[in-house]
Amino acid sequence: MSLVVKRYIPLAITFVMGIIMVIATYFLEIGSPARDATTLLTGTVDVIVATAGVIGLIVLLRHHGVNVSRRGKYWKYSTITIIGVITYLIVAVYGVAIQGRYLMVASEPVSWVYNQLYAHMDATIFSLLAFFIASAAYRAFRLRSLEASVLLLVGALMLLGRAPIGGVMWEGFPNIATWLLNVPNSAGMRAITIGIAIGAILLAIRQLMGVERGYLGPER
Amino acid sequence: MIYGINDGLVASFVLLIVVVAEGLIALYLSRTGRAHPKIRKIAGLEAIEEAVGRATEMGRPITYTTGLGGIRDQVYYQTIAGLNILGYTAELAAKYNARLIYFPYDPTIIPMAVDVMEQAYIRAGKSEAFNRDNIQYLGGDQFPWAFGVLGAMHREQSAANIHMGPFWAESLILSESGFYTGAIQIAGTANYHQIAFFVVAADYALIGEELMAAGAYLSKDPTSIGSLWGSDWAKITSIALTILAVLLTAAGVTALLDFFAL
Repeated sequence: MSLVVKRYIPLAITFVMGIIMVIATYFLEIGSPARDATTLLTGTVDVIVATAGVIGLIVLLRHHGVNVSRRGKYWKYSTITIIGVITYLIVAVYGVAIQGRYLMVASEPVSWVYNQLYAHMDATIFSLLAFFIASAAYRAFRLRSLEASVLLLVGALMLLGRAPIGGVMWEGFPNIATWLLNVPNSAGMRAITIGIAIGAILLAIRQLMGVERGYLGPER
Repeated sequence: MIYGINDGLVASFVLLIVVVAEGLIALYLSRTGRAHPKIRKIAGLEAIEEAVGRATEMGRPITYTTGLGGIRDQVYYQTIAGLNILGYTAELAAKYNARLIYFPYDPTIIPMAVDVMEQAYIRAGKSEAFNRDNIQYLGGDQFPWAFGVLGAMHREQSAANIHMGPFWAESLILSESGFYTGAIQIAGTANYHQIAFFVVAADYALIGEELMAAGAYLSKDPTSIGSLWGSDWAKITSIALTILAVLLTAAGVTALLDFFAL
């Protein structure tokens, strides 16, 4: 593929689209035909996403298919993955067939699989986060340095301020926790947020001007 | 509309112009060689080479993720920053003959990741060593993806785990479980609510804008580094405006606050 197609055209598209979006956000009134047109333009991303979904499916099936055929490492897990993907696809097609709906609208069989299997497994995984928080907190709150000591002190005050027992012990704990959240925490977060926003604008400038193009393909 | 600008966005537009102007001036000065800005060392990025070297010595792979980002969401810039660091990491991995496994979350970035990694292997002069199978798509749902990565980290006994991009609740799942594999961990995100988890659980953490600066920092390109200089100017402007607004408000003058509300 030539350098023009692989590099210059994507850079030109990035630049033009970036400028159009800035103009639309600041100068085109919401509800005006021109603003609606730019909204439609962003809708083209859905086409890319839909195509990429197929790429994702192919990459997934190819990777696990090769692993199974070569009896590679953990090929049994790969088999389960392939069975899962194909079964869900069959359920989706069956749902469309019996209900005559579009694929994007979840049919009853698809919803059933989602609600009865997926939702529970997802919630189980999410709930494990509590244990990860506990183990991370244990390591972080050890008195190894001045910073860790401050973290321990603030963490303890926050726990006492937010847990009901803290307020029973001393009514000042909830106030301290609220102050910690609203004053020092907000100040730190706002500083980080301003830094991130400026960093993002400068990254966008580097990309729009083609200075930073590490995300593009090989220069050949 | 005020001066043709949508309501509520006048101050935002003026500040955007100021930040962009500062960035462009800094970029111009460094490109023309009139200024030679220096950048401080970012420990998290310096540690990537150490992590890749460690993986090579141990004969174990490096796992890499760019969080839950794609090209369609508002945090895409973090994904792009993550891909820039992926290119650098892949080049080092190619140079040191270490295996790098990348787990994309959103299928839209698979083609970009393939290009970025291929380019990195070409730069390292090891194009034949590039293997597309090391880009493993695990699905596009938060917790299944996170546990897919977690499982891979444990099965492969990765020597280094690198997470750069937008992360949410899975940040701690990944970094804490990665800790138990004994891997060196480098993580960065601009999602400020997750930064604390990475700081606590990873060996090195990139905080907020350090992630966005990574591409310029790693490229060592004076022009890119110049734009980081511009971001320093923008931060000084923000601090000055904040102090000025506080002083004026304390003195009973609300002109600046009124302007910000425009």
